[in-house]
Amino acid sequence: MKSISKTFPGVRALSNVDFCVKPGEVHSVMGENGAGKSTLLKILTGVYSLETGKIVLDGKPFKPTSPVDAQAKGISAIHQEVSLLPYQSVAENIMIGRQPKNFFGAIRWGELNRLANIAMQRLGLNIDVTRSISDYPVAIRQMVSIARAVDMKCKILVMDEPTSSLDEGEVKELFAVVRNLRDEGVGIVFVTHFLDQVYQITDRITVLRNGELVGMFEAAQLPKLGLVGHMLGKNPDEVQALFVQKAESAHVEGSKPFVEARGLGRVGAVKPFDLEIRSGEVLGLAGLLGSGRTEAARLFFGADKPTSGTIAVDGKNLGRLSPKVAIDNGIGFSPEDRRTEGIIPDLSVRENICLAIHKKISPGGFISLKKQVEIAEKYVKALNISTPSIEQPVKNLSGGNQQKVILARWLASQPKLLILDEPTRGIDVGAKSEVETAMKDLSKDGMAILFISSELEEVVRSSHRVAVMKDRAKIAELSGDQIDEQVIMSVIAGGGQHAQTN
Amino acid sequence: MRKQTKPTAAPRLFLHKEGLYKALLPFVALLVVILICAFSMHFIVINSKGISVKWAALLDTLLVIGRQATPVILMAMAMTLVIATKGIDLSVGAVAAISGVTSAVLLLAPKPLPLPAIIMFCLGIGVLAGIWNGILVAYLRIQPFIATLILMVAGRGIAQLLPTCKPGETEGAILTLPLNNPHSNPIFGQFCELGNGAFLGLPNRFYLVALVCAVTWFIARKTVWGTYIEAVGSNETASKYCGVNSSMVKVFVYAFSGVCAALAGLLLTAQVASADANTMALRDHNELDVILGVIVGGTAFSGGKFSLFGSLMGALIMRTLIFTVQAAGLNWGYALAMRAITVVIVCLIQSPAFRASVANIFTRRSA
Ligand SMILES: Nc1ncnc2c1ncn2[C@@H]1O[C@H](COP(=O)(O)OP(=O)(O)OP(=O)(O)O)[C@@H](O)[C@H]1O
Ligand SMILES: [Mg+2]
Repeated sequence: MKSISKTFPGVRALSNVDFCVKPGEVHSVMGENGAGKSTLLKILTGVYSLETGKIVLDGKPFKPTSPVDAQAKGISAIHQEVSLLPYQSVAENIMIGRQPKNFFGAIRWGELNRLANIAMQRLGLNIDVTRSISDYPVAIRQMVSIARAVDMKCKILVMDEPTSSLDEGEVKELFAVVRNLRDEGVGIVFVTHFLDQVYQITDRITVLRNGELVGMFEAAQLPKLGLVGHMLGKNPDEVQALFVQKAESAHVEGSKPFVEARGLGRVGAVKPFDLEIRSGEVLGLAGLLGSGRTEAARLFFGADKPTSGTIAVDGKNLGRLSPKVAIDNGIGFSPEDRRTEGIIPDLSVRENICLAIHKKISPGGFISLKKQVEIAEKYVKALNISTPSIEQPVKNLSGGNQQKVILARWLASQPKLLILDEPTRGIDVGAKSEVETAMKDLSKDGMAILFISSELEEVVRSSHRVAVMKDRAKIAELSGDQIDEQVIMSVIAGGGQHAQTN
Repeated sequence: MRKQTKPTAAPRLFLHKEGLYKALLPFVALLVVILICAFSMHFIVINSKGISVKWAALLDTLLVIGRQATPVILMAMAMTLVIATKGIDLSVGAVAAISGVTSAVLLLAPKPLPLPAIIMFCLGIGVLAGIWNGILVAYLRIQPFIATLILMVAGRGIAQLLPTCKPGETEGAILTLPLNNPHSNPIFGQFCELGNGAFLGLPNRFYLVALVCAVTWFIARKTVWGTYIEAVGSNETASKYCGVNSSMVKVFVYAFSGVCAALAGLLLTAQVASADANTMALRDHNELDVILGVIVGGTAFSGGKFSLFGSLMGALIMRTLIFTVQAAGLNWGYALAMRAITVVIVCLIQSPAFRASVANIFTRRSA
């Protein structure tokens, strides 16, 4: 791709960017949130039309007119925002457009399910492919869209943050498949905000900043700090300061619990568990994919209705919990799936940030634009949200910036308990450390935080206490020195005979 | 970070290019339709002597169109909010008919209630009908199309049966308010005067439209309801997680739609001093006019953002078209065809995909 530019109303997303991927290499595109990575890949895959510049594929000029066209010419893609048909089965999603048909043109369902199963197993995943996609959590959906893309014969495979909600095991499986494809001569384009993954698999790295090309580097010759420096436009010393240290040991031992769950559970989602969260502490939820972390967190907010147990806030029992009741009791919730449960796509950045606090800022239901602008501007600045204006519809922001808007929404509401389910999903290194710092400061100020992340390292770094989940049940609670990646992994592996400190 | 990351305190008044385009398009479309109307009725004549315009006649006609459009505009305001929540209200025509016929029945009663009470009663019926729709949609989770279809069908029946409440009338009869009979109750005159009279040179109903538009605008842009409506239409789950009571929001918009429809029904009865359940709801295709008007105005069926100004323009466009066809003495069928064509054209122009492909054709030619 040569001198690619793209402008959206009010934003120059890309200016004169060159990019080149060779057959048989893994090429990472790196940059901050809103740097233009997704835009670049969407031009390559025909989602956006090419405005200026040119693309050459196999020596021939190439101008994809639509994603279907690009696919036909050998470019297969996984986009950042998982795009699957929610009410269709996993198998249908994997095989869409390529369904095996019989002589009369009818779909051969048995064959379709068999092929889909093979595709999933290639990624080391054994799930029921005839169930509907919406029955599965975000991580599985992500695996399904990977399976679909990987399963298609292609020359170039484009992956925009495919690993954002996967844990280590899945990433390993994915990388094995990717290496295979690379050895078969497929060119692979890979975007992620996980630096370790970049170095595990990449041959070359292209760095973008503010829509401009910083440069292309051999992965082996670019140290991590140098890479971050290029991404942020800072020198290595400043970068060093970004990596936050471990949370100080719990200074909250004695304080009384803010929220107490007793025997809380939901049939089919989480087995009954007890958990208390104290004001001023960060409680991490650790566990593998499908261990019930998200499901447990959702019960605290009333996003799903518990089928057993009670929740007490400040010692007072809450009856039927619903999101509204939870918010009124000072609980905030940033959900895992930002696209379907987090952002309001058509509303502006300002309206999205202010949506949960109208009770406070709009007395009597009358809105005050001035107050809203004030709050929105404050958080856009604090979280470094990259947007041309606070009136931009949120759907036009880059993925990571959308995530920041949701964070801003809950920070603005100043809850007493903040539930953060994968809050760092898809946000860049700089922002990640900002979020970690913010969590630290907020908990110091007395906020309770329930924190979920598929990055164990992050959980270990930020949590004062960790509850470990396995097979949809809580199996242990760790604190102090026990909060350590090794210990947590062995608790998960050992199934909980270990360290039952509850 | 990004260089242009200078958040601007730009409220809704500020329209960037795309926004301006969207807001102006329905207005331009209305001007075009009015021009067509003016040409077809020979108010504007172009000949060898140049252009001559009969201003007085044109203004008169526009006034007539405006008067005819009032019921549609009233319903279009509320319908905009309904469509913004990803819903639709097919029952507005039926509710208007019920309210219109009820008012006639009440007026013709041997000892009629005072006028304000009758009006409030009819509006109350509208609210109830709207709440009914809202409950079906929000709490029983029936698709809005189906839920309001129920009342659309049932409402017509009710409106036709209502006259039988008056002894001696048969089902589906036309209830006429005997205005010219000196012995009849003065309440008939007062009622029709309210709907048809004028104040300071402008028809009363224009003030009513202005009031309803202003109230809708205020609710939509100055209270949290407007934001909540957009939020629910754009992503219901996410708005619930922000503490928005989406069911209440839905019941509210349907109830509002019911009131506006009832108000429109009263105007329709006052207009001709009679209530005929058959023509009121059936032949005028009121609900379709309303819905098409909203769509022409640029509010998307997919929910979310809405444009009240666009709906106002859209309603006027639909009425101008019908008037033009009728005034030209053409068959009713032409009116239907004209409406369809206009909707297709305006929607095509509004579709970004269509504009992009047209732009594409031109750039390719020039390249
Ligand atoms: N459809 C759109 N309309 C308007 N602006 C857009 C649109 N899509 C992207 N942008 C703007 O273009 C810029 C680049 O966005 P892009 O999605 O390419 O970022 P990214 O590098 O993928 O970021 P992230 O790491 O957050 O995914 C952003 O500032 C965004 O605001
Ligand atoms: Mg992106």
